[in-house]
Amino acid sequence: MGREERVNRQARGVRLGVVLFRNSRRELSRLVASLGLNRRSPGVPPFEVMWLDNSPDESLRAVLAELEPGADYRPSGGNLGFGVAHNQLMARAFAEPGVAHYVCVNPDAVLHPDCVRELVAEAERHASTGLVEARMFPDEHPKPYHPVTHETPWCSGCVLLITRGLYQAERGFDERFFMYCEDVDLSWRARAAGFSTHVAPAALAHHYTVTREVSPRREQSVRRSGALLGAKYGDAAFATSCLKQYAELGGPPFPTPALERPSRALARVADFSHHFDFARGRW
Amino acid sequence: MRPPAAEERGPLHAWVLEQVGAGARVLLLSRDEVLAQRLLAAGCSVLGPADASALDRPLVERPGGLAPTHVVLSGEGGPPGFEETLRTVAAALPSATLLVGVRNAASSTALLEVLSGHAPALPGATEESLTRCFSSLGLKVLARRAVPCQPRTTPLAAGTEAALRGLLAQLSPVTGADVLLYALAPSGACEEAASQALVPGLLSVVLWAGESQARPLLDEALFSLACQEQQPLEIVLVTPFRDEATRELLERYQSLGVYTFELVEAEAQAAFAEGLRRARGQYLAFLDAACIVYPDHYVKLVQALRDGEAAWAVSRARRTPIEGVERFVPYKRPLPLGEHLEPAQLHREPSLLFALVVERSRLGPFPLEQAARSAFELPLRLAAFFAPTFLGGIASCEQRFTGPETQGPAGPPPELWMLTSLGTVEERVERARAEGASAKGMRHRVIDELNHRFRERVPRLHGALKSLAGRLVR
Repeated sequence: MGREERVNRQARGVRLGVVLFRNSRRELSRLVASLGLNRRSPGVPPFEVMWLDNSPDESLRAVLAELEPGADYRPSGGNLGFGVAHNQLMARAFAEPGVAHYVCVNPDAVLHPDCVRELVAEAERHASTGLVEARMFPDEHPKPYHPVTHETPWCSGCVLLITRGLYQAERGFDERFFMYCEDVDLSWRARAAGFSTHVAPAALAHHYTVTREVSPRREQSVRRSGALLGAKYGDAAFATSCLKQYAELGGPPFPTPALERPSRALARVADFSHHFDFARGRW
Repeated sequence: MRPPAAEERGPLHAWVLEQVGAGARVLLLSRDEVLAQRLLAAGCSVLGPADASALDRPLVERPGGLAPTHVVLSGEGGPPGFEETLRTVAAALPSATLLVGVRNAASSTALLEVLSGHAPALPGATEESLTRCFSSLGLKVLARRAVPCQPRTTPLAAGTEAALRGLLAQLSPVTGADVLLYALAPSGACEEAASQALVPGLLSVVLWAGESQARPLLDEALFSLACQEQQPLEIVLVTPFRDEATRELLERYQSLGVYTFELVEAEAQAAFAEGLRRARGQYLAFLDAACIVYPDHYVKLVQALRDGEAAWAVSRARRTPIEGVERFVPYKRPLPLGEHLEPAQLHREPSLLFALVVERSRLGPFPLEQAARSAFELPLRLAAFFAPTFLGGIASCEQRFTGPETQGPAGPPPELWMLTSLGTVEERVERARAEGASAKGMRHRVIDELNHRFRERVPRLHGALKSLAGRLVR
């Protein structure tokens, strides 16, 4: 047994990472309260939370200090985007040998009191787990998962556990994605590398964005990331379609991503036939 | 036509004879030879008209000498005089049971006779005024009986009279009572009538957590309520037995969402009615433990009520099967409500009970508590009088279930009269014609249904065809 493997087996710690960007006090208050409930949940492994603030100023420092005195808050110095910020947190987390899992947590999510415990339990139920996502609540994502093994084609980054093993193999998110689709990409890379990706059905995370006001910037960002994902996996039709929609939405010009030739393993798991669902929906 | 006075007293006589036993000392406050004779025949002592010397003195001066066990009063004198007499008797004879018979001024007979010019308006009392009066005098109701109205007392055609009586009874059931009979006793303390005042702006969610299949889902129902956005919120949680675990759940989620709660014990049949009795909110909703609401569900329903004049509002909803202990969801079925909510849909989809909010101050005398005893008929009973606001858009709540879905109504529709304008009927007919002409709605429903069955039975093939269609479209 090598040193790395021994560390992996001994590691029990869990780090949660939250990337902030101009969040409301109410939003953070609910998240902090839900983290408190998770800490008191019977059987939950000890966990710590790291906060990285992408906001243009540090006004959230005081808010967080009030809500959670002693919180591990750091400003990032600018809006790094989702993947880069989480990669920084992940690097810090896994630099500690006792940490087995890193969990990305969106600041607008509210964790069910059993969420962290169930995420970890699901990760440890399988031999080669790479990713485990919380089940979105109250309206879960319609993408499929196996009712028994809980395997799913891709995991959402909203509340997502990343194992040390996957981090060591894949180094987190592809930093070319500013926001959106980086979770799909990481999932496909994980599966192509032989890791499994799961839903933890009993780990609920309250997160509902359907009724949020449609922001042109968000829509542009989704299409831009879609174009990058399509190009990365060699799906010219998907990339072109995203670029066309991006232009129609009035997105500012950016260098067209070059079409790549993915490995066979990557090509086998990539699925662009269901548009931005990236999998057949259950409803 | 109202019956002659002697005949009118029949129900009161029967009531008195039922309430007293042999040996009772009954004081009659007005002369009634027939009742006196029947009481004597039943082995009672009769005080009052038979004891002329006692009646010549004011009542308050002679209670000790009479020591009646029962006092018989009639409310024919109208509210002020009747209330004063009650007050005097209750104060002077605190150990006596008061037997009261009153003609109901709000009976359908009285109302229709006045409308048709068949009889003058009654100066009498209504059940509501009597209840207030009893409470303020510190009298508790030991027993009550309503003598139903007789049909055919007006010159209206039989069908019209029956329809009007039926409609009135749906709006206020006590209109079906011609005479109200009570047995009263002092409660020991004068109380103001129980306050019915609703808390403005407060949403009360009456949540039933008694069904054994749904009970394990309560945690998720409360999690969804804690994360919803309507404020202020009160949760009235009804369980069939005292349950500390439920209290702990409610307290636990108070750190996530702001709400007050009350725990109520009641059996299934009375659950919603009992919860409703305790709910204080101007706005009212019903849920059971298997339901979940989306964050904006109540916000948009309450806002729709604030923006308009409707008495209740309904959202779109989904039915969601859940399988196994891990609650796998194979599909979600939107309730097929179309663009306009029709009364028939309220009957076909009884779970719409869990998708509505009622503005209680707009219901007048509508017997919400009574209607809640047949909870799944409640939406239809509301619709009989109050046109709801129906929210389009996407569904914002789910009614989940385990096992095979029991589709359709629980039973035949209740016998109801509907208050509907000709314009509304014409609109419905027009929509039905339009749908028939284009068959669009039907076609969509058929396609949705086929798609749903196809996906359930051969999911792989369904997925493959959907992918193919997706590629072709793109």
